[in-house]
This record gives sequence, C-alpha cells and structure tokens, in this order.
Amino acid sequence: MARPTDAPTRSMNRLTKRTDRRTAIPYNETQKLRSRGSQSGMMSGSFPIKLSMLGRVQHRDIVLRAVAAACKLVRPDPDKAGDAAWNDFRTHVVTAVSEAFNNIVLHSYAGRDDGIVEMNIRTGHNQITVELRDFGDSFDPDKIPKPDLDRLPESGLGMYIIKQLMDVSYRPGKPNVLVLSKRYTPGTSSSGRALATPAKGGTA
Amino acid sequence: MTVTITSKDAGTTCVAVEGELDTVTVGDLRSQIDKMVASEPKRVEVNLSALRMLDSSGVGALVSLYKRVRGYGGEVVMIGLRDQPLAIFRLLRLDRVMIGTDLTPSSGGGRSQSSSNH
Repeated sequence: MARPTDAPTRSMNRLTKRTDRRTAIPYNETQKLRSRGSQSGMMSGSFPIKLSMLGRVQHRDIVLRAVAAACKLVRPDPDKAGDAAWNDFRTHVVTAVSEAFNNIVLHSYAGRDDGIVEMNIRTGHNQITVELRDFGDSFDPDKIPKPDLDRLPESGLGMYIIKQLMDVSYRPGKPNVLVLSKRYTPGTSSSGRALATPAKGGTA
Repeated sequence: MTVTITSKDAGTTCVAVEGELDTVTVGDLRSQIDKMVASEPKRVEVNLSALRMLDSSGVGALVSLYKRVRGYGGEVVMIGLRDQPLAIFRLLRLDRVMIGTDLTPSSGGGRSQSSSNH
C-alpha cells in the first residue's frame, strides 16, 4: 500500500518536541493547496462523506460528532475499542476541526448566520482528511502571528492549535478551502506524553 | 456546561466547570467569573475534572480568570484536568503555569477536595 509520505508525522514531532522551538518547522508554513480540479465535480468521488450546514456555532456539535464517528473508520477494526494512540488521534482531529469551524463562523462569516459550510471527509490508509469549505471572507493563514505562549494569550490560539494537531492546507477563494489531514499510527501513542489522555484511570 | 461556584473556607472559592467549555458556553462562565472576581477571593480552585471539552475560547476565559485573580494578588490552581482539556493545556503549555498540585488525575492521592457532586 502506498502510504502517504507527506507531512503528518511532522506535526507529531512538533508535539513531542514542542519545547524546542528551533527545530520546529517554521510556523508560517501552511501548505499551499495545489489546484487539482476540485471544481470539476470530481470531489464527490474523493470525499465519500459530505455534510452541509449553515455556519452557526450551534451546528458545531453536529460537525464534531460526524468527525469523531469518521475517526472510527480509520481504525483497522472499527468495532474494537480504540487504543491510546487512537484516542489521541481522535482527540486531535476533533479539537482541530472544532477550532476550524469556529474560525469560519466567527471570522469568515463574522456577523452572518446564513453562510454555508461544507465539510467533506475522506478516510483510509490510516489517515483522515477533513475539508472545510466556506464562502465568507478569506484569510492568509501564514499571516496569523504565532502566539507567544509565555505571555498567556487569551485569544489568537485557534490556528495555532489547528497547526499543532493536523497538517493544514488552505486555498482562499469562493469557496475558501481548508484541508486538514492527519495520519494515525496504530499502537504508537507518540503524542502520549506530550498531549495525552491518561490511558487509564478515567472513572466511568 | 455547568458552572458551580462555592466558598469553601475563608478566602478560598471553588469553581467547578463541567461539560463543554467553548464558544457557545463561554459567555456564561465569563459572567459568573466577573461576579466571583469582584469579591477578590485569596485563593481560587478551578475544578475541571468533569470538563469534557475545551476550545480556544474556553482557554481564553480560564486564562483571563487566572490573570485577574493574580492581578489583585490572589492565587489560582486548576485541578482535575483530564482527557481533551488536559491535552489543550499541555499543547498551550498552560500546565507549566496554571498548575495545581494535582493537575492530572494520575498524580495519585493528591489533595482532592471532595467537591465532586454530580
């Protein structure tokens, strides 16, 4: 099986080495999305899961439930309980998509509640790709300053969180297309210490 | 999300946040924090053991609480963090600053103030 060799492990490395800023990939390194005929109608084939809704914060839970359910499809045996690595994987994906959806509602569609958000999901090969499309204001993800965590910022954290947890591509336009992808490596809770859920001990 | 604010003893106020603290719910927490901070408790214990989901706007509210209490010379500890909220704290390196002695549930036999009522 051809494994995707692009960057998913990079963000994981950044998680585990997050205190060493010098070795990190430059923050402003959002991949530029290559145009790939996504307007041609072929997307329906490459994204078997599609969801469309108005961009309202009240709809976020629907988005996140869909994403969490899709993460199960990434597991080799969707019926078995997930291991620590998978729990981390799901936590990261849900958290990142949550922030991305917030950004669309609060920024792209600031002040509007009639903007369409389309979410497309593709799973397979230990990987999930979540595409979010909106028709609101565009932004340049590379121009968003990296927050100075030592100063305990109270805002401006959303894109930072997304970039730490998933690989990000963005193409501004009509629609704006944000693509978040992440690999799942079974059995290796590589983020375990850096960004972990306690493997056990959670009381019912 | 549910916020429960109780006075434990002289100078200590407990804030328990349960459920999901996010863009949708953060306004409620902020307004309750406003009231609580007005009385300037010396010590604030924020119990997050029943917090299931935390997003960046929720983080903003917790950091704001921390800064305001520290601003008048008070002390803040966040306790009981687990799962996704703990992940967010670590990602944003808040665990190094806003740390309670029993930040994580795995620290075994910490001084859990039995305010768990749910």
